[in-house]
Amino acid sequence: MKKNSGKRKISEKISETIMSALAGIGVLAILFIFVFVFLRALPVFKESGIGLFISTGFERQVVTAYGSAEPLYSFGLLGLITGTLATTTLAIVTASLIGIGSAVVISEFAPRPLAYSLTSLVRLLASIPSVIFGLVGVIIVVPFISSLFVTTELQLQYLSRFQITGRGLLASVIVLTFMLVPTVTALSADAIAAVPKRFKEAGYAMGMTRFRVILKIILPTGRSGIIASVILAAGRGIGEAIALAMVCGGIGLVPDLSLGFVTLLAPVLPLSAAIMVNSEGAGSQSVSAALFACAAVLLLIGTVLSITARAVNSYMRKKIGDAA
Amino acid sequence: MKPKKIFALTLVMVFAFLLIPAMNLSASATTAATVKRTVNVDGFEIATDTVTDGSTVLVPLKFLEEAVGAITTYNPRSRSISIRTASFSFSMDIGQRSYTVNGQRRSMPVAPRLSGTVPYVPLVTVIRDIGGIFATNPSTKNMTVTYFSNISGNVVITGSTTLYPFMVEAADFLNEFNPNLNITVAGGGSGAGQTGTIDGTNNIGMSSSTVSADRQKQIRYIIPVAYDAIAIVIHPSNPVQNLTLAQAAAIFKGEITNWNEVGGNNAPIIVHSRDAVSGTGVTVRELLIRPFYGSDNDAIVETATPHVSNGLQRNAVASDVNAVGFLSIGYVDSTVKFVSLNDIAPTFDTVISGAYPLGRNLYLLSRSRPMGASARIIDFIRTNHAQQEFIAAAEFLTIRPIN
Repeated sequence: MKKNSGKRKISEKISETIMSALAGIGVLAILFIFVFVFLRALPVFKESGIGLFISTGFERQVVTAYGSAEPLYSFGLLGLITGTLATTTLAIVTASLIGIGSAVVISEFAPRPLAYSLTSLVRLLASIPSVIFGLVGVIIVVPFISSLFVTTELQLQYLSRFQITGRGLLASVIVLTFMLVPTVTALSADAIAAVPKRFKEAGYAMGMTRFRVILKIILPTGRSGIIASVILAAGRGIGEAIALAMVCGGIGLVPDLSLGFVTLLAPVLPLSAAIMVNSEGAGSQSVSAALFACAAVLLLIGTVLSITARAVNSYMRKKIGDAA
Repeated sequence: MKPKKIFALTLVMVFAFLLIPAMNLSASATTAATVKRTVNVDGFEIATDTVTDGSTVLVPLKFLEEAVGAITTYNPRSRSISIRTASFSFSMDIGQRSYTVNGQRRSMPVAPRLSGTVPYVPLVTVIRDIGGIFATNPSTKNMTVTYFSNISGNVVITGSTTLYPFMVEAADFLNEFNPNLNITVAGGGSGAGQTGTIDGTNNIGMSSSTVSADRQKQIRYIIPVAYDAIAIVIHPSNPVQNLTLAQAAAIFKGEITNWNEVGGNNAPIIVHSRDAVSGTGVTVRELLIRPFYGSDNDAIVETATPHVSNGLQRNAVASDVNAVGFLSIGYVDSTVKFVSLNDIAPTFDTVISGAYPLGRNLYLLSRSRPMGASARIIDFIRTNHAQQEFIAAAEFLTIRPIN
């Protein structure tokens, strides 16, 4: 008996060490990525300083750096940062509205067989490679936008500042929304399905309408799952490169809100798309450093987002209590 | 005395008659009669004129270009011949059996000779020296050359997306032909092709832009395998047919911004271009903008919409009536319309002749003189067969005219 338990302890210890070693490797890998990316980007951070975050003109700087014999490390990422934030924020807002709505429909309104097939469909959509969304964007979304909004007069009017081609913020947001809706829907539907039936029944028993049950019971109870789905979608949105590179217009302009609707037609260049578009030039020392700087800023944005989301979630948990 | 004189005379005459065939023989050495024969090169029958001397078959210099992708030159003044494959360079002289391969002195069974003005060289010597197998069927006299079907090794080819489509096809063909050969072809662009060649991540680089003098120190072997031209394309409904080079340069520089300045409608010129580091984009800057604006000021207008591939740019021009863009000639199709430059349309003839101003070479690169499998691949892509099957089929221009 004693021998046996001793043996088990040893084997448990061994598996424990293996597990923690594996976990350690995971943590180390992440740390290594951070350190590596920041080290490679260091020349750019040093040379550009704060200008990296407050000046623009990235595409032209890349052209110059690529053609220059001496390494140039002065870059301005403001346009890229605002482009990333604008596309992701707008896409997250629309995708959350559509995605959470569809999740409610799937798990609350649709009859069983329909809900089941809708769920599998959404999961399938979530696994579509992003390049396909990019193609759909180029072949359908961009021509659709240009036929709706782009006129020769409009093109003439803004020609000196930017070209209106249908590629731009609006196209990026639409394509990104398409990409994020399945993620939000699939995960939110799971979260909603996990809301205990007795909660809903209690609501109905108290004479609440279906709408109020959804608004006051289901959504607040499934809140943390829904928020998690939105965070995951935001992560995918920030990191999305190829689909956006195909429809964003490729120029890192800071969205100018004073233009009103035309802002949506102006080209943008999110960080991840900038890395993808210019990766061919990574053979050049300075272009490579610039792309690592983009990656570093992207990592920073991702980290900040993740921490903020956690903070918001725990704040809300404290404020209204965790129902589920 | 008399019979003696007659005897001597007959003797002289007999000698003279004996000399006639000998003189004939020495005459045939310079203007030998040619015979049409076929040589089987790795399964492909190639017809050629031949000259036979004893058991040695001589072929015209050009045959070596068509069959094994060599570069040959003949200097009639010094009567010297040079033959260069990727790995080997021969230097021979008409009428001399001794020759050199990569600087090493050797001797061949019969000397190169002229038939008319065409130099002929012994096929067996060249094929065996470059590492091929030459065999003649004793009964049928059929000649077979094995050079592209006995390759083995791993070869990585990376670089320009312009060369990529036909290099992939050629690599697939060779991989299938050679069980022990494994060629991997990847894109990445001309810039990546050049740096890959320098740092050794590829065995062969592909580049659609010229290698800078600086980089030529590290990339010692640069060989064109096809020609390409860049066409300036517009929407099919755009009435503009022709631009002067200066106008085209000004359009891409952003100094001409309305189609009515070049004879079109009152409409903005929407400029499409490639990403900052594309080989096609770099070529446009070098060939079109630089001559007018200088190398410090040759960037394409800042507002131009960049695209990551030729195909996406074509798609963009095809869907915007006010658009202008540039494409590798192989990508021009009926969805877009090319404009003539200085009244010269980008056709195969104008590009080959050099009349069309935006022509360029497509190169394969190697850090040093290629050896082994890499060399065979480079030789292969320059053969007539490969030029026809892969270069012409991909709508690029072949390095030599192919009937």
